[in-house]
Amino acid sequence: MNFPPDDEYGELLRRAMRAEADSVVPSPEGLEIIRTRIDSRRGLFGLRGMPWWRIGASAAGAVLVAGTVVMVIPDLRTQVAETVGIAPANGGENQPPDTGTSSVTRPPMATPPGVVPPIASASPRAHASPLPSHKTGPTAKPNPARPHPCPSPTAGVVEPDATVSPTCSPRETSQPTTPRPTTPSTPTAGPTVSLTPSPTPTPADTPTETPTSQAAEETPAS
Amino acid sequence: MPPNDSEERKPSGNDERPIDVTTETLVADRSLGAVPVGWDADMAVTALYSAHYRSLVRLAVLLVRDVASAEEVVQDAFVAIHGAWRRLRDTDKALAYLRQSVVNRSRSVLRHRAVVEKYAPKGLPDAPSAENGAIGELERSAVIEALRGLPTRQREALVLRYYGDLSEAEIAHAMGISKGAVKSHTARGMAALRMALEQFS
Repeated sequence: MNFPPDDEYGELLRRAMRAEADSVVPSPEGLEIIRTRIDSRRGLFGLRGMPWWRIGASAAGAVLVAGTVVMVIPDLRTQVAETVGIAPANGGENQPPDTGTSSVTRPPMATPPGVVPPIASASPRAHASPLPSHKTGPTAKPNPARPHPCPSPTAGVVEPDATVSPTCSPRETSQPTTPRPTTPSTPTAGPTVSLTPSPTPTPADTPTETPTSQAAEETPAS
Repeated sequence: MPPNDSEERKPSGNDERPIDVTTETLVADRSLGAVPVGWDADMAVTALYSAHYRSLVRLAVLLVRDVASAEEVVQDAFVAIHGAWRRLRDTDKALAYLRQSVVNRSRSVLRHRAVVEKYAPKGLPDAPSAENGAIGELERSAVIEALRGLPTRQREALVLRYYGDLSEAEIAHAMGISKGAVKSHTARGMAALRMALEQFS
């Protein structure tokens, strides 16, 4: 202690304080009162050991698992989408034909690795004509894969409406023609002119375009 | 340091009250404050209660001048230390925690009381009892009365020093102030007390 030595007032103060304090006798049920207060406090904050955030986290986890399950299983996803009403935002107005073509377009997607995007875009019929022109330019290799995509989409799509099939088939036929000329303008004109439904007769049916016919003749040979 | 503090620090039965138990238990940081580490809050509160409850109530009485309020203050402090037992890193500081809690809550009681007394109608002062006729009682009551007239901080410093026999550092920790402030409050309080007692004599 750093205090100076107690003077007489300090000693007097000490004696008086002790005498005053000794006259105080606390109630004997102090411990009971404290325990009661502690118990009541426990009752109030009984969930302190398991806070609410744990409950919320478990609920959020369950919702997350359910969401992933719904998203992983396609049938369940479509079912949920139909029930919830998310279907229009998904693909537009032509949902049923798209689903039909999608199943048909799967094989070509698997066989030619480079032609996958155009085939997927072939499902929209009217808008498909510009798309193949772009994709045929860069992809010159997929010539042998032509017979696969053409008959299959035409066979699947022709049934709903006949006008669509010619547009789709030329697309596929144009792919062989375009690589050879390697001119960006010719492939766009090629597919529009050719009206052949099947891929194999395309070389014979496309008389106007000389480069395309040559390319077509080469492709069956190879 | 209070003498012969080793025996009376332990809580005895209700039959007999040791003379110096108050001072000794307030200094008992060095002895009982050492609560076993493995104890849970209930056990620690029980042990602390049996060792320090009475002394803390007496300390609080000197601060708040009211037994009922003093008991409530100390009980609140025990409830608080029970809730904070997990967070109490050093269980040896349990008594220091309790003491600081008592001082702080006593301040709150006095603050609240000051507000209440400010707006409450003033009653008659307490009449001296018959036993106050003795000289010692007069002296004591005069000292206590003078002590009650001191500002809160000065009273706290004097009570913790002369009743609790705490060091400057312990007083500073209990009051939440610096050692220099403790010295200042103690010196001013003693000067005011001396002046009041000289007027009395």
